[in-house]
Amino acid sequence: MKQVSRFIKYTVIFYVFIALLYWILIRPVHIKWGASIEEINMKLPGDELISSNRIVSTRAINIYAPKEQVWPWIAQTGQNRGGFNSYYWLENLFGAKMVNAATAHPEWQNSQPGDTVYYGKHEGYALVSLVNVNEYYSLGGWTLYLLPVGANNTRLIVRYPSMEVKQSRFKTVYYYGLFEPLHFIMESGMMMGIKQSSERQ
Amino acid sequence: MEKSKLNISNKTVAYRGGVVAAATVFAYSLITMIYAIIRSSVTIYGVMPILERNTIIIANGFSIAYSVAIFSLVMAALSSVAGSVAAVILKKSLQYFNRRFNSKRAMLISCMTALAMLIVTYTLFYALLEDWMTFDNAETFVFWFIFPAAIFIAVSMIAGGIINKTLETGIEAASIGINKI
Repeated sequence: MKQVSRFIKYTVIFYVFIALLYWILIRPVHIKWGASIEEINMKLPGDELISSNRIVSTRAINIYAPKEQVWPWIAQTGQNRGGFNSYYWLENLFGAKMVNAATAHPEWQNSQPGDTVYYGKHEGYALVSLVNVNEYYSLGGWTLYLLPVGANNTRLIVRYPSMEVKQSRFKTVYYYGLFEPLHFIMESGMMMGIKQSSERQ
Repeated sequence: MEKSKLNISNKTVAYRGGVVAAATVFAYSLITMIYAIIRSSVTIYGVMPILERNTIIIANGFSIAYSVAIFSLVMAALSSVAGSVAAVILKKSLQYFNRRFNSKRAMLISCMTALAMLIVTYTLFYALLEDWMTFDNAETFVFWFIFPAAIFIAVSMIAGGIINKTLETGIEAASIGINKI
């Protein structure tokens, strides 16, 4: 029994250590992972939809493919379409029933403002707010923006506004304690998934 | 029928049940954490160029660890309450159905008691979470219900064996000051 108690004690110490490192070293990095100062301060389509009581992250990734090759993977985003290109196995632990499409599907390419995009089978949904083919796609301020770099490379810049956390203490605890790190894992996974699919074409 | 030689207090059993439940949750969470970190890191390794790889592997790993840590602390607190109740039910079952302290019978009774508790608990869960508790959502169902059920039965059988031994010999009891009748 002493060993069991000791195991709990060391696990809690380990978790506290992880939490401290996360807050001191990791969160400041992941909130702007891959993005330059210019990209963080850049005005993106959909910014006007972001209210002031949200936490905003801006992340970016290099994709070694032209934006026309990247766009199809963004256009078909959604659980009810081509998936989120992220860690489907992690999403499916939470009942999302996510399947990432292996190819670009023509029937999902014509996204329009007002289209419904599901986050998971048992989860919420968002309406497409803004779409400009080969340039940007926004779900209520969660904007995926393609910036061409020369003829064959693209920067994928993703800006995400959190839920309205600043009004509610419960939402603040939930957001910082669980949602934000999980969202970073899934969003960075999505960005890398889009990169991988685009470069594979 | 032989009467139980020892009176292990319900409070002690409940406390220990709570501790074991919390430890089990932590063990499960650590395994999950390691699995998620390794699997996602392998994916990242295959996608990102060498110079951009390290930052995201570290940030991703710590974010998984942090999320699992927070979630498992909450789950450990909740599970320790359930573990306390389960341990007391287990002890009562052993006292009632295994008065001769037969160790094989103790394991069987523990297994059956655990199964009965699971049936009651999962029936309640099913009323609330019907859509999630099907093999249609295989990963969700296995991760949240099947594996925990298997672990609960295994831990209950081990704990039942220990409680039975304690009731029979008093060896464990002596070390924690359990009173003889």
